[in-house]
Amino acid sequence: MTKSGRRFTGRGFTFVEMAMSVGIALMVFLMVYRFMSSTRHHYMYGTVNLQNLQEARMAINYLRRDFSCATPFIRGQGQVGFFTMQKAQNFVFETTGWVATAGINLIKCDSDSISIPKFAFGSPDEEPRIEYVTYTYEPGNILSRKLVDATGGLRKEVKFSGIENVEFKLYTHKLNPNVPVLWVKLLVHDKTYGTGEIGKPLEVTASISSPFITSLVNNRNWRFETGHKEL
Amino acid sequence: MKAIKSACRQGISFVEVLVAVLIVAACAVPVVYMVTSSRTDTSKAINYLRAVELANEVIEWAQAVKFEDLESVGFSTYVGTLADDSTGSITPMPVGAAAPENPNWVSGNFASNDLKYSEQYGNAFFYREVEFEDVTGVGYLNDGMMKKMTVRVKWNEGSLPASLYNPERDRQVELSVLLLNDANMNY
Repeated sequence: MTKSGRRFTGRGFTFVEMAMSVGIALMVFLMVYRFMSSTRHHYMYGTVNLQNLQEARMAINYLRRDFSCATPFIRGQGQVGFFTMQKAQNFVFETTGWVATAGINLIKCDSDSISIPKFAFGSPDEEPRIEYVTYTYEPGNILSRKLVDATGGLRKEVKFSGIENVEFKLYTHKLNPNVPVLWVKLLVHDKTYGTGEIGKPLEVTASISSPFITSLVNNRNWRFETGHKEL
Repeated sequence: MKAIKSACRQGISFVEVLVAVLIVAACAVPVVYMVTSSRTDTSKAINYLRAVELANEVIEWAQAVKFEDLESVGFSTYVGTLADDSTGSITPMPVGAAAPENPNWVSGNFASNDLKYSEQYGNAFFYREVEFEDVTGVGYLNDGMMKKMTVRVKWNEGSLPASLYNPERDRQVELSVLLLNDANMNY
């Protein structure tokens, strides 16, 4: 090894060289960190928004499927008196003037819960079968859908998570103020990442009607919407 | 040997650094594009869901209306723009709820005043159109038994349209249904 070579390899870094190297390394590290952080934030934001959309769409699909089969449960002639039957057809919903009556279950709608008697698919005999579905807003931002039998026994439960707020409301439209429509407003904000600051809360509204209720209130003299049997 | 040692001591040239930086940047671009485009796509899907629900809403109203009242003129008041700028700022339009005729429902959970869509709907500037068409000339159906209803919901992805009150928008969803006259079932 030559003398000059030994001298070269023996030489350390100067302070300026070290400071510059550290400075450049820090800058590069900061740039990479910011890039990664921004990408991660975008990814989380997108994930939360997508999750919000999925939950809202699923909840509305379930609600539409259930309420479009909604009907007040009214037992057949011989089990329920004619005037009681007429009264039930006039009420449809449990409001303050309604008195609980055997053989009749009306639709209950509050601002954060709804209980729906609905036609079940595949009725085995002539009497249309009715099953009950309830939607309740529960602690922990959960909207719970419960399918229950006539005795109140739970048959199936579906939970929609990340629901920050739910509003059920009934309305009649100016086009026909005699027919009720269900108004649902959902505010969904998924908290997969443990904080509400990621993503944007999603608000969706839907109007849902039931052709069975529509037929019932438009044709009160018809009797075929009665004679139900509980599943 | 001397040449090898000399090569080992040689640092990285500016061109090499530049090429390396360009390669890293080229790799980063698709990642950034993928993440940001997924966010945009989600936003589009959200507006699509809202548009479908808005179209379904008009169909629900139509199902409540008497068959002979199914005309575009009657519906024209309740479709059109969903964003109103007559007050200077963009506000959502009312749904068109009315006080129920049935006295038994006055005390229930019925809307006491007109319902309004969310403020979030304002960014998409939704616009609805509805058309009714008599279904005629079908062998087994008498005239006046069926109507075809078409609902179109149009919207923009954030960009302000030339006017809120004309139907020019960038995107559109169209739903059609057949409505049967259940009071005239003479085949």
